[in-house]
Amino acid sequence: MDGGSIPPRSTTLKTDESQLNQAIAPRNRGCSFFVSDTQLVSDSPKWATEWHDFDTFLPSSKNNTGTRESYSFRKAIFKRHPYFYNSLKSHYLRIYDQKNLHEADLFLYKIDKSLVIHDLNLSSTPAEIKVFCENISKKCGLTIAEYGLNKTSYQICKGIANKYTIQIDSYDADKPFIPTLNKLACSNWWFRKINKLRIQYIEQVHRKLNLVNKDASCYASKFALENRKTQLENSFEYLMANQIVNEDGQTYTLLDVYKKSVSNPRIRKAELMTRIRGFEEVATKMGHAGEFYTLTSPSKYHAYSNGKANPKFNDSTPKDVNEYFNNNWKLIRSALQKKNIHPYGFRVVEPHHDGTPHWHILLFMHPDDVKTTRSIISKYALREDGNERGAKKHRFDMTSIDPNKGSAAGYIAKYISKNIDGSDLDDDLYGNDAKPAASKIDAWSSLWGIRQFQQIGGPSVTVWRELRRLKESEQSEVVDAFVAADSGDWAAYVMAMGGAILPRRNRPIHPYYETKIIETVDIDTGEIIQNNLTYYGDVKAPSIKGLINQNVINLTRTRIWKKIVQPMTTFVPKNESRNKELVKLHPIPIVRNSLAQKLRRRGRSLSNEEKREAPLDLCK
Amino acid sequence: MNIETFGFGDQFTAQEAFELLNSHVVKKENENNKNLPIEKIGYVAGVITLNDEVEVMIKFPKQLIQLTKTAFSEQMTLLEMP
Repeated sequence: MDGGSIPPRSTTLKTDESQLNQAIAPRNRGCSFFVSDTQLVSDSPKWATEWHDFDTFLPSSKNNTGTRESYSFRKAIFKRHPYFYNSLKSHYLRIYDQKNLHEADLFLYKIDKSLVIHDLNLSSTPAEIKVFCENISKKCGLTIAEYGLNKTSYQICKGIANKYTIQIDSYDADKPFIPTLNKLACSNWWFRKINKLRIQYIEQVHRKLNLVNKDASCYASKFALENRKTQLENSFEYLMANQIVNEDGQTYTLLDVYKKSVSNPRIRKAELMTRIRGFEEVATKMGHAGEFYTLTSPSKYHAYSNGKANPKFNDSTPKDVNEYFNNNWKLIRSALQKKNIHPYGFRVVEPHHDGTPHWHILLFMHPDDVKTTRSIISKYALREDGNERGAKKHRFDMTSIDPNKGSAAGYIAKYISKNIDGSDLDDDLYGNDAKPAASKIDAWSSLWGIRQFQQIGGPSVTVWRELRRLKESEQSEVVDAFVAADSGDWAAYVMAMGGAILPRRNRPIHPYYETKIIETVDIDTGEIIQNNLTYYGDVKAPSIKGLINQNVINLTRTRIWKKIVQPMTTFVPKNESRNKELVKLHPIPIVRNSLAQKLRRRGRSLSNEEKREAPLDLCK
Repeated sequence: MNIETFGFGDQFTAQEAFELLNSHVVKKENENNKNLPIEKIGYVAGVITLNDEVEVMIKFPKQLIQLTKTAFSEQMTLLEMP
């Protein structure tokens, strides 16, 4: 990794004239620095024949590229960013050949700037970042110790956080600021924030260096995928190692809970398809028209276009582009409401091959509103750079859903599948195998914090999920909705909740939230202390407890669960069948990988059956 | 489209304010920008009534502003909507 720190083989400048003429730029040849036996590095174990032998990984024929200053400059940068040195090298040489040394150095300078924030090098390893976070949290802790829990400490610590582009809650005399100071003095909080910055900045540089595209790595870089694999592996180990117990002594691992929740991709996919199918049934019953729209961002947001780097690219991240779509959608939605049009349906965000997101929207509406809706969406989709070449053709695509050709659920099913686990699909738009492509899309959405699936209009899915937990109710409205939800009939649920088009406040059933209060006993006094604060001292957000209809509460969560935390070091994989189970749970084949590794550690290789299930590269 | 205020006081009537709901607006300093980026456009997201005072809430992507009728006519320009 640390290629730049290879011990130099040369410590003394050679005085051979022919070599000097080759190595030194013409404008520096008269400089006495280059014609003496000036010692460059004093502690090298070996001597080299040429001063530039330990140059910056450039091919030997290019070793003497540029000036002495340029050499030191690029060497320092390559050393700082080991993730990229191969790619930086090739870009540097290409720019040097096509343009000049100045442009090549400028390119390196810009990349370096985008990965270094003051003294924080985002290319550092997670272990180095951890040390940095410990130091910075100590610095904040000392400030708090010196000035106390007051505004002065807050302002000094805020200055430190802002220096590293980390935003914290604004100071409000009415709001407690102690939780913010607690966070700033915690190294784990810093690590979470800075590690997020780190992976996003590194991924963005991958995009700038054209390492994320259909010719290199679709949707996300290999770095992002590896990072996601590690993250999931840690999550699964945590889920397997921890258990929850209720007042009756029933014990489950967190993994068992995960398997039965919508966090499980299979359940998430099934639920999404049920909801889409349900909306379609409602639309058919109400005589509503189905429309399918695709929104694409202006060309300046695309890193890669027509098989090469896009010269118009404005360095925006996928998150920025999604923000653009969100802002656009807010205007579309308000314009539709102004015209009294209330569509319902779903939207899916998915990446182009270069990681730039685009939106697919499935909407149902009254047939009379179709023309107006199309004109409104088209206007806002083309509002920014609408006159650029190809904008009208590519930026907004609309299709009417013809029930004779296929169902609306069928239109969006492939996007749901492609973005969740890739099952039931052979390959993606770029000819890649669908399952690894789904893994990369998962890594992409996780890295950039992009919500991929969202319902538009219609009743709340939270109420639907709580109804499926409910055991009994005596209220007729709740019973109707409960029967529909329990039988997995989204269309009947929508009708029981007042139809697809109804403001939320007018729906008959709402979720009921309650603040969870933890009771602890003071050992000295025996006093029971009620605590509803988080680890950092924030007031806990209320958690869902049931449903409320006509001021009557129907509790859906009656048991009290407690977590039994076990140290991670005590974790031992229970058996192979559990690992096999994990393989089925997540589209990313991380567990197969870890299974293979664990077996290898035990001196056993994968069985033929296991090999058939696992991807080839993981079975080696 | 500029807004003209007339009559006494600087208060919206409830009807005026509700008619503005979901309208798109830009700040006066951006009204002549022909290639206006999306993030410079806001919309009337709500109406606040407290005793006799009626104000509108305007939501921009990174800002929420609460304005009386006079302030609204001084600071905002309504955009033509499709």
